[in-house]
Amino acid sequence: MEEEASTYSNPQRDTNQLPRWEDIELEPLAPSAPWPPFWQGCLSSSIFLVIGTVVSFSSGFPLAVYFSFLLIGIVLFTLSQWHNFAEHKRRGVALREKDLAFKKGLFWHQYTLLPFNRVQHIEVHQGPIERKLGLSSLRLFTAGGSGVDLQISGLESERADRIKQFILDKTKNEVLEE
Amino acid sequence: MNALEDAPLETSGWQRLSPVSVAYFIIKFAVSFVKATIQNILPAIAVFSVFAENKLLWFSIAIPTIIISITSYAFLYYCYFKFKVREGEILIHRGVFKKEHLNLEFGRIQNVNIIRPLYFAPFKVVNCLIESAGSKGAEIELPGVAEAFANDTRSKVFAAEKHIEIEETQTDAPEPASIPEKLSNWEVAKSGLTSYFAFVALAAMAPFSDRIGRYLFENLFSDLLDSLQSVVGFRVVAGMILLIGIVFLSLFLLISGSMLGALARYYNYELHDKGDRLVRLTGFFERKSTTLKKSKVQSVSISQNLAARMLGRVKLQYRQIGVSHAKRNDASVHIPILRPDQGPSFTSIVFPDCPEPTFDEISPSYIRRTFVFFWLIPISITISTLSIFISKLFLLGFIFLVPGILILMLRYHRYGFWHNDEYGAIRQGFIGKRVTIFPLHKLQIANIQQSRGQRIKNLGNLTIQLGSGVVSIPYLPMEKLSRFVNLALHKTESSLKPWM
Repeated sequence: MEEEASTYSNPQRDTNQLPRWEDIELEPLAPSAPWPPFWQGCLSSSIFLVIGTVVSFSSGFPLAVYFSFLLIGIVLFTLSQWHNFAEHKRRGVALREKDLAFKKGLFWHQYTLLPFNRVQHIEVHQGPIERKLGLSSLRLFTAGGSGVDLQISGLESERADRIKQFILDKTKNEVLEE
Repeated sequence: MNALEDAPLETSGWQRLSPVSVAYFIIKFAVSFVKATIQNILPAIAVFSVFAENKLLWFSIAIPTIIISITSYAFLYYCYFKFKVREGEILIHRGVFKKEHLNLEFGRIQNVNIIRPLYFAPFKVVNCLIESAGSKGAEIELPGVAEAFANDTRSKVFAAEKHIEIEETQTDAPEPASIPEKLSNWEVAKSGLTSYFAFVALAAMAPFSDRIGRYLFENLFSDLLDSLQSVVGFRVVAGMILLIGIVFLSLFLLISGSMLGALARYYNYELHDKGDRLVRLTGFFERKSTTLKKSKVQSVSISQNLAARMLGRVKLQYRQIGVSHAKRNDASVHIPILRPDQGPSFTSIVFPDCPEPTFDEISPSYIRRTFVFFWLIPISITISTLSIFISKLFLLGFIFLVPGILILMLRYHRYGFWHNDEYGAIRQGFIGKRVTIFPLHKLQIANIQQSRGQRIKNLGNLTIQLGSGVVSIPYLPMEKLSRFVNLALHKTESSLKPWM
């Protein structure tokens, strides 16, 4: 019992002295990060426009209604792309020694904090537009989630690979510590 | 009968299930088929039953086709199913159209459950259900294996875990002789009342109510209706009395069905505390033994729906990782019915140093802001537009604001947040309530969300992802929220306790 008392320690921690997530300085994503969603938006809008135009003209839709819908579509597209570019400036990512922080959102600020020792699986994903722009998305999976738990799109490919490797090294070290 | 009867655990060759498992697969696939049919094509069947001609011919073709297809599929599934247990892992090959090759490491296995269905008893085989951490499709069933094999596999898995989990040195100690916690069968039957099966069944029958009613009145109850009419004098009154009687009888039958269902599932409920794990024994038709390592419990959830509230009871679940939603109730260790005052003592079985939470309320701004942004503004815009363009009568729609504020008040009073240095708890609900208690070091992801208005008021919404699911609470003061997040991250990142 005495031996146990001499080896066992359980120092109290001042919870006010713990590292604060509020102090994390986030780094911006790649400057070209808003362009993949922009081009994807253009592509899907074009498809809608072509289908809408063909259906409207083949079924004798009134021209005024067609242009009203077109105007609404243009306004919605402009607003969504304004949001895409404005929100990009608010996005940021940061790596600390033991966790990753990610912020997004224009009106609703959302901060996600993910400890490395809870990461089960990491993927670096690259779509055709992202490939063209030299960008990648980092996808992180934890236990118990039903899919991707955190996706960080718009990272430079090399940076995404470096972050992935950093986290993998950290999780490997965690296993060794145990 | 069983090819595995004498098979040793360590074999280099592949093993097959007992042929009796074909019966199990037939039942399983038939149940899946019926469920899928009810969920997906019930409206189509309803339309078919109304409009199709020559129904008998269609049914005489469809029913044998379905039976033959399910039986053939079950037989092929059995033929293609093979497995082997080797050092540290279980290998499974299964599937008819879609072949699956699974390698399941012992370290990833959460539970090994042994189920003894009545129809397996004469053949001395059991169903061995292996659950692993991960997402859907993580469960493996080995129906029709020898009980000795299943027990051996379970021992091997737990023995392997002892090597992996360095902190669990106490598991070498002999198992304490525990007195099992038992539920009386009357309490178990009452737990059937807390499920909404009866109401769901009634709702499912609603589309057919007209046809069922007409059939009953024209065929089964025509004589009874005549007799009633001779007593009360009017056919309409007699019909009303009969209808009320039928509704009450249906409700009685459905409620009895719920209670009998609960008894079949939880008959002679026993919960054994075996030191580092819990063993639940339950079931009437099949005696099911479910084992759960305490260290794998991610959270304890104590819930109370309206029916349970009226009965003064709660339900407690020891929630873990990797059990899909459909299987969660069957595979997790949970206690279907408890008195509310028993909650803390059952929580302390897995979280021994967790005190009873004393919840703090969220900010009252929740009511004001949610009411304005999600009730007042949308309802005002909709009603104003409708009353201007269609009719002034739509102004009566403002009455919906009254239930809106009541709903918000109820939700506000249900929300509660508590944490100490080791545990956290969140209470939420509407008419019922649910308390989720979790160790801080089992946090997976912390998510903080703030709207512009919340930033001004220094408030935030907190969402915590645990291995067992997501819990969230809105409108917490940021100081409290940040202190919790910083502490939970510190605990998660510095703890060497096993969490999975």
